[in-house]
Amino acid sequence: MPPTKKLGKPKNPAHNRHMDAPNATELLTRYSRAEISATELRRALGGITYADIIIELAARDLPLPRAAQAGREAQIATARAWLFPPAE
Amino acid sequence: MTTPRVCLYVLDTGPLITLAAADSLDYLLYPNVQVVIPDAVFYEATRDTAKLGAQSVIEWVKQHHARIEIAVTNSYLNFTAAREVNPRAYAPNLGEQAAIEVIEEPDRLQADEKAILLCEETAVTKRVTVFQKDKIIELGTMDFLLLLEEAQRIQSADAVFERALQKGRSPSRIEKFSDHPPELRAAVRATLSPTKT
Repeated sequence: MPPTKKLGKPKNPAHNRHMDAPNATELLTRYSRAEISATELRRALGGITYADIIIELAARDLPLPRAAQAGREAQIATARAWLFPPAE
Repeated sequence: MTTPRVCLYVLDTGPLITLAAADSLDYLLYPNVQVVIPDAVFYEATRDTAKLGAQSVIEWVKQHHARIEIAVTNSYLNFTAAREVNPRAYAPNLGEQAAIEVIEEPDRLQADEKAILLCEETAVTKRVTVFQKDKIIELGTMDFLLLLEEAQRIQSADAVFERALQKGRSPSRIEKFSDHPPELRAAVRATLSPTKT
């Protein structure tokens, strides 16, 4: 008799498989330092969701990355002027 | 000097999930401009209502539907059509495709209109082909929060991120969309309906 096959699939298998990878913490740390993008992180960890990123950062006491502003001050100032124009 | 018309495009799930986790989605409305979310991005942020922030995003969009446009895209319509044929159909990068489609729509960014593109996934804006690049500015969630802080609309951008991380420490991942009551699923579908923007 063939072995019984379990029905259904594990919950979020990509998440479970890749979060235990030895380099997961290193990748999350690099993301936290804004050294890699969220896209790179998600792809390296098997397509986990952004919600999972927040969960895993929190589990490791890592902060979310701060904005990398260097060289973008003028751009951000323009965005501020667009969103909050001075009263006429 | 005339003030340009500005819209805030949320091009991926990152800003929605971070702000939802921090109970701060209303910050997206603080600039008092139209908020545009591609339908597939909304779907990706809310398809599993037990995921971090998903339920808050659904309720927030319903509450502020007059100021939030769920932009209809062919990418998402094709995906839903494929799902009707094969419920297990999967579309990689669905949100990204929809986001690009929305920002590249010819009817958007007319005349003096400007766009703030809010996203965590830098791949999205790299792939956008907009005729006048000076009409768009890409911001990350932290950029946006720091901007609000500098404009004295919020007290602390860091505090928002800290709240999001605190919520991340106790997420629920057990339930799935299909496990939820029919009325809740109907509400999500109604929000995503092409006839309701």
